[in-house]
Order: sequence, then C-alpha cells, then structure tokens
Amino acid sequence: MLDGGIYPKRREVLLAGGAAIAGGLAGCAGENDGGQSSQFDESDPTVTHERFGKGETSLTYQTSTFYTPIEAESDQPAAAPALKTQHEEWAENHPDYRIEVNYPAFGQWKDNLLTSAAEGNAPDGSTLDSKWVADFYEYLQPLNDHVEDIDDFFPFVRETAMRDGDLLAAWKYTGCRCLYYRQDILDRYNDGDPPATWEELLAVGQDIVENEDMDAYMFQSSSALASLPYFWSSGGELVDSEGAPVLDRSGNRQALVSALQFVRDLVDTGVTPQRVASVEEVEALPREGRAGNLAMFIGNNDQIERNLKNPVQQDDDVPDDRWERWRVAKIPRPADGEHTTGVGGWAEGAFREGNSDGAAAMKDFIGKFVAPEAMGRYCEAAALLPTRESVFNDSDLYDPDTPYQDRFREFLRDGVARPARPIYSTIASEYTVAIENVVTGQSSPESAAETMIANVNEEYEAT
Amino acid sequence: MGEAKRKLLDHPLPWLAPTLLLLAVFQLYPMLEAILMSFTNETLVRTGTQFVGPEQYIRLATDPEFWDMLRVTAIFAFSSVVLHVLLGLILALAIDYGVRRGLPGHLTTRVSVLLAWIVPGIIIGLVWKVMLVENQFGAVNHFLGLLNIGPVPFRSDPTLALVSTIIAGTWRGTAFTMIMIYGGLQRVPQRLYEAARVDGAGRWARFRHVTLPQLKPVLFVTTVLVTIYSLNTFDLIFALTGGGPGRATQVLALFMYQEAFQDYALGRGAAIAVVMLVANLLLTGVYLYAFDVGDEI
Repeated sequence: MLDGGIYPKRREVLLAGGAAIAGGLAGCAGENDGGQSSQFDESDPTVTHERFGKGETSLTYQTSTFYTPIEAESDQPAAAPALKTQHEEWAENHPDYRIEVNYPAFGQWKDNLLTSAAEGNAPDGSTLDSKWVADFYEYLQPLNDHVEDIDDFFPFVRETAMRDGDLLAAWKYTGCRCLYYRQDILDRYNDGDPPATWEELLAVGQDIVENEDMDAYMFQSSSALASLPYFWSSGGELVDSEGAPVLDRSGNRQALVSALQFVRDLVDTGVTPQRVASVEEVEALPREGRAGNLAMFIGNNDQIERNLKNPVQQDDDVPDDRWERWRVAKIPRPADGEHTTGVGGWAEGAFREGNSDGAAAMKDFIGKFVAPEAMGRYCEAAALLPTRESVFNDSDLYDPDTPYQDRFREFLRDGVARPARPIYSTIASEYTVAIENVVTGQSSPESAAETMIANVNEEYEAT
Repeated sequence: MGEAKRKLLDHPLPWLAPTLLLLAVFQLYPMLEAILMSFTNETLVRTGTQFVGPEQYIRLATDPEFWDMLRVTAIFAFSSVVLHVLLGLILALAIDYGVRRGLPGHLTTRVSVLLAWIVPGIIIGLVWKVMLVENQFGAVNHFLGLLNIGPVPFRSDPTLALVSTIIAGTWRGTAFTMIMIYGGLQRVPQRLYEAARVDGAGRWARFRHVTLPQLKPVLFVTTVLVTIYSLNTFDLIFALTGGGPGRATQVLALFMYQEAFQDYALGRGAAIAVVMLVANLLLTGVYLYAFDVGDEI
C-alpha cells in the first residue's frame, strides 16, 4: 500500500476516504432499516427519543425536542417524565402500533409541514404552534371521538381549534402576556402599584427615566401578540365571524390609531427608547431587566421561571431572592378600556385521514395530550398554563410551585387568542410593521393605520 | 472511425449536450415553472389554483410599498456593487503588491478575508446582529460606550439599519471580488508594465492605462456576479434586520421570501422572482454595453 514511501499516494487516500464515506452511508441506511423492523423484545424500552411503543405497525409523528419524553434529549427536561408516562400509557393501550418520531429543524418546520400536507404526504400527526392551526384547517382530522369534554376548554381554545363542530387541534397548553415590573422601583415612584392605565404608565415611566439610570418600559416590537392587547383593550376587533378583516370599521380604525398613538407617546416621552424597534428575541427584555437596565416590560408568563428566577439563581454562588423584585400585573389599558392579554401555546394535530385503526391510534395519541390528567401533569412540570378550566381549578391535577400562578389564571380570563383565520398572518406582520414605523418616526399613527388597513384588505381580497 | 462518427464528434452538440440537458432540467424548467406560476393565484393554504393573467404584476406595479422596496433594493445593490468592487480591487492590489515583493503575511491575509466568504450569509447576519445590539450587550456599542459614544441605533434607525446591512454584506462579499480581481491581476503580462516604465509612466499612469484595461473583462464578470448576488441577497438581511425597522431594509428578495414562504402566496412570490430575473438580465445588458467587452469574454 505504501509503495515506495511512508506516505500513501493521493489516489489511495481518496479511495480510502470514499470507501469510508460509502461505508458510513451504508451504515446509516442499515440503521434505518433496522428501525423499521419489529425486533423489539422485553429489554427494549417502550418509549425512546425516536420511538413511542413497540408495535408492528408504524405511525409517523413530528414534534420538537421541547416535547421529547427523554430527559437527556429534552430542551425542557423537567417536563420529560410527564410526557414519558403519557406515551407509555398510550403504548400500553395500543400494543400493535409504534410511533416513529421526527424532530424537524424549527425554522422550516411549518413550511415543510404545509408543503407536505398540500402534497398529501403529511406525517400521521404533528405538534403545531397554536397560531399555525388556521393554516392547516384543510388537512387536520377531527378529534371529537378521542377528546373528552370539549366544552371544558377555555373559549379562546374552542374558537381557534374548532371548525363546524369539529375539534381539529388538541391545544395542550397556553401562555399569556403580562406586565413585568420591578417592585422596588415602583415603590419609589408609584407607591408600589403597577400602572394600570396608559396614562399612569406614561407618568410613572417619565419619573423613572428622569431619576433612574434605566429605561422605563419596553415590549417586543416584532411580536404582534405582545402589542395587540393595546388594540384589543381599545375595543378593536381584527376579523368578523366570517374571517374577513374589519379594521376599516370606524371603531376598529379608531382603536388601531389609539394603540399606535400610545406607542408613539411612549417613544416621544422617552418612556420607551426607539431601540425597542430592534427587539426581536423574547429573552432580550428579561436580560435587560436582570442587568438593571429596565424597570417594566411585557413578557410571557413562563419568563418569571425561565428568564428571571432560574438565571438569577444560577448566576449566583449563593442563591438569593433578587428575582422576587419582579412582579407581574395586567397589561396597562386605556382609561376607558378593558384589560386584555394575548394568549398563545402549542397544540397537536392528526393528519391521517379515514377511519382505519391506524388513524384511530394516532388520534388517541393526540387526544391524550389534552386528557385532564396528562395536561395537568405536563403543565405542572413545565410551568405552563392548562387550556382546560377544570384542570386549572383542580389542585389534584395541577398544583405548580412556580410563582404567580394565581395572577396568571386571573389574566387568562381576559385572554384573547389570535384569530384562527389565514388572514391573521398578514394582520400580524402588518401590525408589527405599523408599530415599528411609528416607533421610528417613519409614519404617523394615522398614516401607519391607513397603510395597514389597505394592505390587509388587499391581501384578503386577493386570496 | 467511421466518417459519420467523426462528423458527429467534430460537431459541438454532443459535447454540449450533457450541460444543456442539466441546464434545461435544473435551470430552465424551474424558471419556466416560476414564470407560469406568476400568472396564477397559487397558494399553499388553499386548494384550487386559477389562472389570473397579469394580475400579480398589476398588483405589484400599483403597490406603493413595492416601489419603496425597489428603491431600498436599488440603494442596497448599487452601494454593495461599488463597495465590493472598490474594496476588492484595493485588497487585490495590496496582496499582489505583497506577493510580488515577497512580503510576509499575504497568504494569511487572503485566508482571513476568504473566511468571511465561506461562512453562510445567515450566520454573518446573526453575528452582525449580535455585534450591533443597541445596548452594552452589543460589542460595537460596548466599545463606543467606552469612548462615551452612543448607544448608536444601528438596527432601529431606518437609515443606519440600511447602512448596517450594506456594511455587513460588503464585509462578507469583498473576499469574492478580491479573489476574482487578484486572479485577473496574475494574467496581466509584466512586459506591459515594463514597456510603460520605459515610456516614463508613473504608478497611477500604469494603473490607469495598463492594469485597469487589462482587468476589464474580469471587472465585468465580477460586477455582473456581485450585482446578481446583491439583488438576490436575502439570508443576511433576514438574519440581521428581518427587513425592519418597518420596511426600511425590505429588499425584493426578502419580500419574495415573505410572500412565498410566510404568507404562502406562491403566485405572488413567483411574480416578484420574475421581476428580479428581469432586473438582473437588464442590468447585465447594461454592463455588457458599458464595459464594451463583447469580444473579450
């Protein structure tokens, strides 16, 4: 092989490399083949990262590594045991089936799923962001026979996940937006009370900016759900019962202008810096809060645990309770408006058509995510909010030790879900553009509102 | 070898056929599909596609925001082309100077510059985004803060956001123009410089009357490629600004992506793609005329 020297010839190196790659690919292929056969025995675990159950017949399922039942693989390890128990129960009830699990890259997940659904090649089941559900109505299969007590879901769940009496998605948990505020700062400037109205927010915000070396109030400008409560609490509605946009109706137009004017006032008074237009990541604001740069921000309910309590405790050699300076309150509203909050969360859906046993097994699998016991177990472990009122109210099912759960339950009563209509994605993107245009002074509130209304209506008419 | 076989082998077609076939399958066919799709209302969220004639194009032409995006695209592309070619030329000349004089470090310089080109645009966009964060967490604003400057609104000011995308794109793409022009410089015969020196030409005169004319074909190809690259830039802007704030950095390529893959309006996305194709072809024609290199490439 070494033909006259200690170094191999280039051709030999290339051949060896090619053989190694071919061998590796063959090995991969072999592994896949092995995964398809039914050689499981007693020693094989019932639930693994890539497979749930050990039956002969395979079903396909897509989800995120947030929802793997294996702790070591999970982005949310605390919740993995709850999911493992749930999947083991399903496997026990469906010994003839196993679910082959795929974890797609998040960035292209929705696009690829939608494309494959349009081609008729969707997986048998998939996890879905609740805001995707409307785009998949045409492909999702009814779950009514596999989900108990549909009326128990919060109204916003039924409005989004149901069409013509069919439950098309199992919305397994929710979350809401709220005002996070530094209690010690507000003790100094507002007698300890969080601002309840826009006027109070502007007043106390200006005091903070003038006297403290920090920004007073910020929100995630790239997220429509973080700032849509400004519009909703002004009395605005996005679509009518038919799903048509109604922003051009007088009251809604006025609500939109009011919301945008409030944003403009925040920037003009210095309460919110213009750089809010560059805030994209949901973690950016609690990070600024932890660094002492921010007194109030709009955040998700789970951020108290994920972005405030845990990081503060992990950063310190001696854990302390500084995170407790952060409290939660309702999102400020206009003086004559009602409190609202945007609600989100994730759902599960079945794509397998027909009444075959395989379709029923997949629907059973999907339905288990919203069974009261499973939902309570998972939400408690993951510090998330249940979508069933009964679970929320039953401490045997759901009794988390995460902070402020009572407040979140209270906020959730004013929850508004994103309209489950395809036009919503256009509304959301146009709304964030309008907010950013107003924040950066590229448009007046009135002009930004008119542009948004025109674009949304044009898009609706075109589709 | 038979006469017929020899004639066939002497003909260019058999030699070009594999390339033509590949081009037809992987380039022409998708392009035709895109053109056909642009005359439909195809969308992923609804079944039943209809032929709608030129409606998508009419909608684009009557949308004032489309013209704003075209303006932003033109500013981005023009600035990018000028900066890419200019900086690439300066770098190539500097490296060529170093190589000819045996100065150390020219290889390291080339490799360093090329590294930026190897990294995918989306990563470059994310790296710049992190560097340009508008508080003390951003590297650039951190250092400016040490000088009591800022924080500078690199991404939240509409003008600075566009400037930031141009600079990030130039930082990445200059390596390509540098390597192209450096290659062109190696083809310039030394005897031309020697003759120019004999005629008493100084450095600038040699550059103006020898180097630049000799580089013309390379500069033409480079300019065309950089123009196409700039007009089609999407990943870097997507990661760096997402087209914002508002639509201040929304270029046509990003608009096409959002229409096709966020709103799932495939017909409209295809119409924007065809507009971009026409813009690329027109600009190439303009360059061909301006550079006057028809016989040299």
